[in-house]
Amino acid sequence: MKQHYPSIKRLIAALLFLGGSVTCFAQQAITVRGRVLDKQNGSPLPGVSINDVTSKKALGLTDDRGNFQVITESGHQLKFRYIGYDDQVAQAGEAALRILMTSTSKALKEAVIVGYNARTKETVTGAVSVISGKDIQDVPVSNVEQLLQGKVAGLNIQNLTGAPGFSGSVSIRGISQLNISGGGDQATLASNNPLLVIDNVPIDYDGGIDQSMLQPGAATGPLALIPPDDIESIEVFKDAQAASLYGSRGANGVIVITTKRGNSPTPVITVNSNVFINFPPELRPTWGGLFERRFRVNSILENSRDLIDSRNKLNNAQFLTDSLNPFYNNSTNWQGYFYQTTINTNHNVQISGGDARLNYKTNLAYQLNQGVIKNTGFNKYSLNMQLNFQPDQRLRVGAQLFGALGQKARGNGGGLTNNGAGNAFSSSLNPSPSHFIGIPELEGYDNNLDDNNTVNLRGYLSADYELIPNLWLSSTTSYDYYTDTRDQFKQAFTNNDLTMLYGYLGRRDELNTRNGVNYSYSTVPTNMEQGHNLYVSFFNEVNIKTNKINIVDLRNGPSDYYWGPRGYSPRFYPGNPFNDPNGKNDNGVHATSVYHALSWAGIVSYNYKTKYNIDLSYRLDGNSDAGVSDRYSVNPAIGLRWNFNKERWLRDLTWLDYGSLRMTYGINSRATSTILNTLGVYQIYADYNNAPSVAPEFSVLPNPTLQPEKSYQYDIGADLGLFKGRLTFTYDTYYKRTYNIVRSFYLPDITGYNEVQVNGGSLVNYGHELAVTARLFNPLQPGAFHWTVSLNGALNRGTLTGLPGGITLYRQIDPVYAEDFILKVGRNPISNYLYQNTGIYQSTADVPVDPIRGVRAKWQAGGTNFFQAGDPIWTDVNGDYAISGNHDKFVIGNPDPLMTGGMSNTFSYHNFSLNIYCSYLIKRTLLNNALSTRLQQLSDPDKMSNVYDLDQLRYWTGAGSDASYSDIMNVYHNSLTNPFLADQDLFAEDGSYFKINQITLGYTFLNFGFMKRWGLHLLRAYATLYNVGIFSPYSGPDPETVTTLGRDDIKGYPAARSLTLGINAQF
Amino acid sequence: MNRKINIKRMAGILLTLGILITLAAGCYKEGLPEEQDYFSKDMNYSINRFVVNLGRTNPFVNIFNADYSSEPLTFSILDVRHNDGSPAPELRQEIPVKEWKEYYSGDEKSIAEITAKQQDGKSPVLYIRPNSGEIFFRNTDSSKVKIGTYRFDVKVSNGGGEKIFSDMQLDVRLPHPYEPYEYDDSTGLLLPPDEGGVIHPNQVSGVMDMLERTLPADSVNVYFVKTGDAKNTLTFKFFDEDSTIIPLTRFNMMQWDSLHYRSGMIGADVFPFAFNRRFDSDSTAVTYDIPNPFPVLADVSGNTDRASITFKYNRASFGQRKNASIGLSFAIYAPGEWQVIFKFKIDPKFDDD
Repeated sequence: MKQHYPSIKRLIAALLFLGGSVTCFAQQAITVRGRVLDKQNGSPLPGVSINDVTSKKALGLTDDRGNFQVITESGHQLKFRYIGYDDQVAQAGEAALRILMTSTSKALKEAVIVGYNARTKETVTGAVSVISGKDIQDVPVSNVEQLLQGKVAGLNIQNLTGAPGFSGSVSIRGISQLNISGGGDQATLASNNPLLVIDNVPIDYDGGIDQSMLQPGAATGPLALIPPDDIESIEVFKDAQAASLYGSRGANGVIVITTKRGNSPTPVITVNSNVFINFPPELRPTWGGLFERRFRVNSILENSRDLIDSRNKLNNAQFLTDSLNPFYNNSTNWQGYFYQTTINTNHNVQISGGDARLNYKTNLAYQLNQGVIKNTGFNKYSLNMQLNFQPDQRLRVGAQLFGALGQKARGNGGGLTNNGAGNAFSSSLNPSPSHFIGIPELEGYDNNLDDNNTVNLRGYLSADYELIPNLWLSSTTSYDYYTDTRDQFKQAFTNNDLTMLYGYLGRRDELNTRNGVNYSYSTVPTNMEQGHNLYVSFFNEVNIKTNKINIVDLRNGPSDYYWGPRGYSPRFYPGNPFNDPNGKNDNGVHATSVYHALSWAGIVSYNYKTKYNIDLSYRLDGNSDAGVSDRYSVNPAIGLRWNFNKERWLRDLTWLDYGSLRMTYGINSRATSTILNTLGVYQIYADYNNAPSVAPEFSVLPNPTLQPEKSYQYDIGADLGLFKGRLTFTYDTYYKRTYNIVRSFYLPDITGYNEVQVNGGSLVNYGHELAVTARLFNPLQPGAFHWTVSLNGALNRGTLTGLPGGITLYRQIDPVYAEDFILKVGRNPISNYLYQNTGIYQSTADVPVDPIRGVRAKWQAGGTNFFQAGDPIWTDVNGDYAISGNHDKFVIGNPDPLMTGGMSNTFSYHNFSLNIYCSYLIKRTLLNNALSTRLQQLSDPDKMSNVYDLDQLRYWTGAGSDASYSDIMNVYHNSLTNPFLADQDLFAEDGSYFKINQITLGYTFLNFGFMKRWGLHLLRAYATLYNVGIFSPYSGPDPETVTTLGRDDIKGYPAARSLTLGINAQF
Repeated sequence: MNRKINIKRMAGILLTLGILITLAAGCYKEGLPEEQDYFSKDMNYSINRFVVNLGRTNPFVNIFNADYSSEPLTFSILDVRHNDGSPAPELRQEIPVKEWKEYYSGDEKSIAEITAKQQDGKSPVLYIRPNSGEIFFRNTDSSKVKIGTYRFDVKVSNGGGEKIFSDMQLDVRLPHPYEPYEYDDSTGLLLPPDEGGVIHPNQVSGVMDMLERTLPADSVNVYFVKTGDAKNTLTFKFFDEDSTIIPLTRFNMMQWDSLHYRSGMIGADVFPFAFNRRFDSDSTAVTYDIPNPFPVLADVSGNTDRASITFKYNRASFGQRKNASIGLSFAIYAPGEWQVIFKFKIDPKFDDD
C-alpha cells in the first residue's frame, strides 16, 4: 500500500498546478463574489468548495466569513459543496451571490450504510441511529467508545475504568448473555459487545481483549486505536432487520463507523491539536498519624477478646506501641503517592481532497495519555489512508490502509479494568517512601514494567463494476492483522519475594472477502418519489480468522536486574509450587485457533414512491465451530416502512416535515460454540500399556448438534419531524428474545464426563426508546442566540425465560465474596443472592431468642457467634435462629440498568458555542465491595493498612444511635459475626446517576488578518472539561467505575477528570 | 376546512398508533414465565432416623438442606404412627413445656433468675419448626409416650412445589437421668464395663498412691446416686478404697469461690458453678442447688453441654510440690437430690512425703 503516498503527492501537485492555471486565464473572465450561509441559522460557512461545473475546474474555498471571490467565465454554473450539506448550484454573474445551503443531516435524505450498501435513510426500515462525527470531537479520550455514551437511545455504554486505553462495557438493548466467569470483583459477564464495522470491514469489537480473568494480553481494542477526528459518522443498528445482513455476528447489534473521505477540489489540511490535563479524582478521606494510632490502640485495648489477647496484639504491633520511635511516628498520605496529575497532548492532521471521481484522505494521529495512577498510560499512533477512484461511470475502486500502534503501560495493575491502587495503601504511621524504605504496592507502580503494545494493520480493496445498466458487481476484500505483546517484569519485593517475568505474544488476523451483485430498478429513474423502485442484492462472504497466543511466564529469577532467560526453562515447569504458588504458570502456547465461516445473503427492497417500503433479507451462515450436524444457521428478516407524510392527504400540513412508521422482525445468530464443545478435546495420557496414548478428555462431552445462539426481535418505530426541523422524535419499541444460549449442563458421574454444553438458556428483553431533538431558539439572522436540546432515553426490561434441562434456578458461586449470582426464570436475567439487612440491634435484648434452646440468634448454624447490641439485623428466613448462607439469602437486585440515556445542550452566540453533554442511568443494583472490604480490614487493628475516615460513616456507637453500619470499633466481636460481609443488601445500593460528561466552550476566529496571511480557512479554539461530575445517591465515589455486573471493586481505576485546551485549524 | 379534517385524521392516526404501541408493550409481559418459588428436587434431610430419650428435650437442628429452594419453606409432620402402622396420636398431643422468653446468659445469680426467663407454653411432643424443618422431641415421660419405634412423614412445600419425606423413624428410648449414663437406654441393662458400664472421671492426673505410683483414671469409679426428690441438689463426696469418707479439706488447691464451667452452648464460662454452695459440718460433702437440667442447656444443646468440676490438691513429694487433679464432666437430667460419689479403688496419697 505504500505506493499511495507518491500518488497522493502527485495528485496534490497536480491540483496546485490546476489552481495556478486558473489564474493564467484570469484576464478573460469575470470575478464572482458572494457569501455562503447556512440556511437553517444563517451562520457563514467557511471552507465551502466552489467548482465550476461547466469547465469542470475547482475554483476555491470560502473564507472564514463565508465570503468568496473566484474568477470564472460569465454564465458558467458554479457548484458549492460542503460536507453535511446539499450541493447548491448557481450561475456566475456580475451580481454578488448569496448561497443558502441546507444541512443534510436534519433530513431523512442522509445516506445510511445498511448491509454494506448505502441507502437513503427514508427507505431504511430498521432501527438505525446515526451519530455525526461532529458530535464526538473536542475531547481527547483514549477510546472512542467513551464518547458514544448517552448518544444513542438503547446503546448502553458504561465506562468501567478510567485506565487509559481500556474498554468499558457495551450492550444494545439489554444483556444477551448469561455466562459469568470469575468471581469477586473480577466476575465478568460474557461479552454483549456488538459487531463493529469500520469502513465496511467487519471487525471484532473485542479484538485483543481476552475476556478471561487472567487478562494476559495487551487489551487494546479497535475502538481505542481509531482517532475520533477521523470519524465521519457512526451508525448503530439496534433491531434485527438492520443487523440481519451482518449474519452470524450481528445478534448483539452492529455499530458501523465510516471514516472521513476527501471532498474538496483543493486539498484541505485539517489540524486538531490540543493539550489536556488529567486530574486525579478526589482521594478518599483517611485518618492518619495520631488519629490512626488512637483508633488502633483503643480498638485493641477495649475490644479484644480478653486482656491477654489485647496485650499480645499490642506487644506484636510495634508500629503502634513504639510511639517514640520516629520510624513509626508519621502521617503519610499514601494515596498521594499513587496518584498524579498529568499533562498530555493529542494531535491529528488530516490531508484530504478530491471529488466524486477521485478522492483521497490521509489521517495522522498521535495521542499521549498518561493515567492518573503512576506508570500507567496509553500512547497511540495511527495512520489512515484512503483512496477512492471512479475512472468512469461504470467502475468504482476504493482502497484503504489503516495502521496503528497502541502502547499501554499498566503500572502494577492487572485484571480486566487495569486495577487501580485502591487497596494498596499502607498504614499512615509508616515513613514515606525513600530510597531504603518502601511498600511493595507502591514500589510496584514505581519500578515494575508492564508494556503492552498492539500493532494493528488493516487494509481493504473494493471494486464495483456496472455490468449492464443498474447491475453492479462488487467485490471487497479486507485483511485485519493484530500483534499484541505484553512485557512485564515484577521485582521480587513487589511480588511476594519472587521475581516475575511475563511475556505475551498474540497474533490474530482476519481475512474477509465479500463478492456480490446488486441491481436497482426504478420505473421513474429521475425521481424515485414518482414510481416503483426495486433493489435486489446478493452476496457471499468468506471469513477466515486465526489466533495464536504464546506466553512465557518465569518466576523466581536470580535478581531484579536479570530479566531472563526468555525461553522455556524446565526449572520453571508449570505446577512447580515453589515457582508458582497460584497455579497460574502458563508457559507455552496459550491458545491457537483457526475459524472459517461462509455465508450467503440476499436482500430484496422495494418501495412505491418511497412511501411504502418493504425490505426482505435472508442470510445463511455456516462456520467451522458450529456443531458438525448443524453447520448453518438461518437469519431471515422483514421490514416495513410507511412514510405517511408523503400521503396526499397529509402533504398540505406545513408543520409536518416528515413522519414514518416502521415495523421489523428478524432473526440473528451468534456463533458461540467452539470447536472444543462440539468436537471435544483429546489429550495425551502418559502410560497405557507402557506407551503414551490419546484419549478423550473427560471434562466436556462433545455435542455435535450444538447450534449457534440466536435472537429474534420485533421492533415498531416511528419518526416524526415537526415545525421545520424544530422538533424531531424517534421512538422505538422492541421485543427481543435471545435463545439457544449455550450453557453447561452437568452430567451424572456414570457418563464419565463432567458436563456437556447445550443450547438451553433463553431470555427476553423488551423496552422503549425515545430520542427528541428540539431547536428551542433558532432565529434566522446570523450570530443570534441558538439553543438546541437533544434528549434520549431507553427503558429496557429483561426476563430470564429458560435454562437447560427445565430447571428454573441456577446459582453461580462466587468463591471470593460469596456474592453468588442467581439466574432465575421469570426474573431479570442475573440477580444477586444476598442477606437482607433490616437495621441494627439497639440492645442485646432485641435479639430474638430461640424459645426451645434458650439462646440468642447467631451467625451460622454452628458455633456461638451470638448477635448482640450493635450487630446487623439480618432476616432469618427459615426461622432457625441462625443466619446461614444456605437458608437466609434473598434473590435480589439487578445489575442491568432499567433506563439509560443522555442529554445534550448546544448554545451558540456569535462566535461562541457552548455544549453541555450529560448522560444518565436509572435503577441499577451496585454492590459496594469497596466499602465492605475497607470495613472488614478494620477488624484487624493490629495489621498495617490504612484507616478510612470513619466520621464519614454512620456507625453504631451505643443504644439509640441512628446508624446504618454496625459497631466498627468492636473489632473482636466483628471478626466473629462478620457484620461487614459483602454479600448483604446493606452494600447493595442503587447506582442511578446523572453525569455531566462534557462541557465544551468554543470560539471560532473570524476575520482576523493573520488567518488570511497564513492561509487559514478555519480556526477554532476550544476548551473542554471532560468527566465533569457525577451525581448519584450511591455512597461510593463513582457508580460507573464498577464491573459489568455492578460490583464496585476497591481496586478499580478511577475515572479522571480532564481539561483540554485545543485548536482546530483548516488550511 | 380540508386542513382541519387532515389534522383530525392525523390525530386519529397518532392516537390509534399510540394505543397500538401501548397494547404491544402491554403484551410483552404476556407469555413470559412468572417468577415462581424454586423447589429443588434434591432437597434432603441429613438424617431420617431420630434417636430420642424420654426425660429431656431432644433437638435435631441444622438437618435440612434446601438446595437453594426458595425459602421460607413450609414443613409439617404427617401421619405419625407406631412401627406397625397404627396411628400414634400421643406424639402429636400438646404437653406443657418451658419456653425461654429471654436468653440464658450463664451469669444468672440464682435459680429463680433462670426460671424467670422461662415461661409456660404448650407444644406437641414431636414438634417441627414450621419454616426450618428442625425437629424437636419435647421432654416427656413414658406415661405419655411409650418407648419404641415410631414412624412419621414430613411434608415440605413452597409456591414451587411440595415433597413428602416418608417413613422417617423416631426411636424413643429410656431416659438418661444423668450423663454419662452407664445403662443401655433400650434395654435398661447395665452396659459392659468396657462400653461405659462403669463411670470414671474424665481426668485424673498427678494422683499417686501410697507407693508413689501414678493412679490412672480407672482407679476411680464415679456413682450417681439419687437420694430424694425434695429439691434439685447436687452433692459431691469422696471415698477411699475402704469406703471411708475423704474430707474435702484434702483438696487443698480448690478455689471454691471461683468454680465455674464452660458451656459449649453459649460459648461462655458459667459462673457460679451452681448455687448456694454449702459444706457439711465435717467437710465431707459439698452440696449445691442446681437448676434442672444441669447444666441449664444440657438437653437443648443436643446433649453436648456439660458441667465439669475438677478437684485439685497439691503435696510435697521428695522435694517438689506436685499438683494432682480429678475432673469430671457430667450432666443431670432427672430432677431430685443427686449425689456424685468418687470412689478410689486404690487409696491416693494426700500427705506430704
